[in-house]
Amino acid sequence: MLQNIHDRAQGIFAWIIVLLIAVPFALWGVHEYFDPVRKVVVADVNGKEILDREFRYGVQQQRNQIRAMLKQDIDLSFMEKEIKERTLTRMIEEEVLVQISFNTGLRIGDALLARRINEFPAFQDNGVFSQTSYQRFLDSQGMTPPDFEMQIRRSLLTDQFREGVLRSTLLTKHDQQMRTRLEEQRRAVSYLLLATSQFKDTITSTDAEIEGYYNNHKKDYMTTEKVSVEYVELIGKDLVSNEKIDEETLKKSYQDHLASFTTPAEWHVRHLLVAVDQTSPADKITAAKTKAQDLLAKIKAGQPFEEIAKQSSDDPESAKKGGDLGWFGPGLMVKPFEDAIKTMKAGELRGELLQSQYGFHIIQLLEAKPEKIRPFEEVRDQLQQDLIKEKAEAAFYEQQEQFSNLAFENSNSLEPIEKAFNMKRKTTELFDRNTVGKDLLANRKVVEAAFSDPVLKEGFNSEVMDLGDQHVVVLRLKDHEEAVPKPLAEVKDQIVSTLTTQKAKEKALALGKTLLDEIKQKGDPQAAVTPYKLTWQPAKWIGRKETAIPFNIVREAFKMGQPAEKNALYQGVELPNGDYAVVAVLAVKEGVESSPAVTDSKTPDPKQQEQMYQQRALGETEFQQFVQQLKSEAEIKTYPQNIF
Amino acid sequence: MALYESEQEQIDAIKNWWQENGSSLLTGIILGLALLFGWRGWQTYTHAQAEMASGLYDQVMIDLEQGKAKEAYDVASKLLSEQSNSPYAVLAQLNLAAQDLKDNNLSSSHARLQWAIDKNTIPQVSHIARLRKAKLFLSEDKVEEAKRLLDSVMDKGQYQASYAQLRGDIAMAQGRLEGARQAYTEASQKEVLEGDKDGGLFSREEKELVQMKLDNLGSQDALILVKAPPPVSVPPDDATGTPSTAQQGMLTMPVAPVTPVTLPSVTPKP
Repeated sequence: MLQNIHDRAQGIFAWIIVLLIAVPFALWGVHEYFDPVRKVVVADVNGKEILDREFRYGVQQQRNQIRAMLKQDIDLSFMEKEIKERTLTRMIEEEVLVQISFNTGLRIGDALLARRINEFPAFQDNGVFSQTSYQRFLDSQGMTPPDFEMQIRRSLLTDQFREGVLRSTLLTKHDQQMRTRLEEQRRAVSYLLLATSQFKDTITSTDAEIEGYYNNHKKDYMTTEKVSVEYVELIGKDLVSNEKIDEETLKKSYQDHLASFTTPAEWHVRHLLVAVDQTSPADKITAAKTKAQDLLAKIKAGQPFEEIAKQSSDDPESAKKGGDLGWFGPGLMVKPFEDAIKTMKAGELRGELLQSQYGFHIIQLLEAKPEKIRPFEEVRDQLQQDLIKEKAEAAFYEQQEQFSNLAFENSNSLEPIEKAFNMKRKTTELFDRNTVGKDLLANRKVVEAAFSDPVLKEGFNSEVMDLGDQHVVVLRLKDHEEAVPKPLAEVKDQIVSTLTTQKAKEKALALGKTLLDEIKQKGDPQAAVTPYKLTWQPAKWIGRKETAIPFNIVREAFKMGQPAEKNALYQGVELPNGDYAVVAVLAVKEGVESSPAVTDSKTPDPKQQEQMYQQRALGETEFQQFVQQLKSEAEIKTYPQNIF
Repeated sequence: MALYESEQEQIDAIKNWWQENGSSLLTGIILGLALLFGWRGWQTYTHAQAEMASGLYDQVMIDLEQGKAKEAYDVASKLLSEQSNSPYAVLAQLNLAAQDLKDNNLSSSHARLQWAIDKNTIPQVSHIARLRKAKLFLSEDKVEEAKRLLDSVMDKGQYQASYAQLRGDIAMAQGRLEGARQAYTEASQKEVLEGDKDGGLFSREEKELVQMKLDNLGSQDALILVKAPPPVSVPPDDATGTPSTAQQGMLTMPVAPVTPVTLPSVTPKP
């Protein structure tokens, strides 16, 4: 028996355990099955997933940043891939930073968090933190405060690390000296210029050469590809009919839109208020009423309203103006007030007091503009026009659907549309891809559609394009003029000129190399150039920013290394215009620190600023290497199929 | 069907069971609760400690930024003595080392960097401390010490580019041009950090500096480089000593705007 109980008891405990296990499933497991949002992961950083919706938001932010930087709202789809890549990299880097921060024990306390949020300019009103601005911002982002605070915590964590590394960079004296020595370095430079122009006169090209070049470079001498298209279009304006609208419809429309033809009444009133709360004890109310009645009596007896209002009215704003409330329309005053005015004539002083929630009023209507309703006859034409337009619009949208369907279902022909709509196709002249033409061809959409594969290669109708303002069009290819090589005769001069330049360049280059070779062999740079009637430019000390001699020469001169004593270094340099130069570096002088500039306290010391940039550059390098180090240690998986 | 013969038997069964297992059950529960509360207490404690360190560090950074070095040192000494194992201690030391350098107190700067290296709280940051220490040595003309410090590093990780650049600087200081050329070449082959492009190791300005250091030693890809006597005589340099302002700052890039306080990326509700 006892054994039996024991078994049973075990059974009960087993049940309890099962129940305990079941509870979490019931609470947390089931909703996964009902959750309609499927989780899409774009990356996984050490097991922490970056979700698609976070990513898309990041991409949107990146776009906004670029637009803000460019200061214009442009279509960024051409750099979509790059934006996505950048966003993904940025988010992964942020995640590894957050992880290292958290794992090593960085924390943001509530006090620090609160201080930072309070400091955000966006949340401030007149320099003070405003709960309303804060809430408004969160609402605009669709976030709850805990969500947002979590995000701020994350960014503060990574900021602590970033700032800690960036701001502690050591820019030593040695660093600065090294930089100055290089940046302010000066070199004594001489050069020979071998201009192509001096060779051109002697160069001729044979017909065979020209033809050979033409045959090899036909793709450089092509005509422009052109097409013409035929199209049908549906334009809302064309659908305006001339038929008259019957009188009954017009009248009904007039009744329906009566409000828009009505100018509401306006009143110019002055009043005097003896304020008393309605919940006050009866004796107070009576006292107020008595006071108001006395005042009313005075006015009736001929004392000026303005003065009494000025002295006795409890409505301070109007009291200043002798009780004048100015002009106002319906709905602006409390109901009993407005009702009372409506019954009065212009200039009338209300014979008795008016009681409202504010107390007792003495009212005088000074002027009144009655409600004005424009009569039917006056607005009849306008109504008619509106109705015709409305009808045309409705007709357009109705026909547009049929138009689109016909264009899509009969993608090989425009005829069904022509028949159904009783219209004739129109034709454009030939145009090229980059054309910015008139009328229809002024529209990029149309030009691009004409050159799109389905239209150009497969011969289908284009999509139905909405050009805005109730104008849709569909087009198909009419004529196609492919790009072909221009005839030789037409481009011969061009080719001769190209060949001449090319040969002159080759000659200059060959001469340059010969000279360098001779200088090397004979060790006498003067003797080497004399037979060619060339002279060395006088040596000149130059810095990196020298502008008096060609930029390529300056740039190369600073890349030629250090000449040994009594020897110069020689090198050939091609210039952008095809000329060739032999450059000689004769001596090098290290840059020296310039004496500190005298500055007043207002303008920042340029040297100090310069140091700040250098420090920042160094810090960014260190921090970037740090981030790369973290990434190399992290286990990162990306899922490009969920991104691109 | 009756499961138990009588009420009494049910009570007896439960009593029996309690006699057998009661004490161990109680012990288990008490132990469990103790562990739970202990763990939570410990967590609360470490959180509070970390948040305090965070606050102190924040104060150090603010003081340093506002030029209140003395206050910064005071706050930092509290952080360093009470929470020397916190990562904030390391970050604070790095920043104080920079302040020391500004104040020309190189020995203190050295000591702080060494402290960070020895603590090794965040190994990835120790590289930065080591690189900076080597630069300090170089700045003091202690070239050998700098070299020894760098040679002691086996795994350079993603800091190779900076290590290589520094090796080049050391070789230059020793007059070993070929060694410098090799080191700068290695460094210059690392990619520039461009936007948020993956794998960049240099900021653009820093990369340009490395390239300039390398170019100065002579470009390897020069078409033909010939050594011969000069073709003309070298004139005196009219700009000696005081380079004209036009030549200043070849590498000066447009001012990189200081990262503005931007709202962090936030995730919309689905």
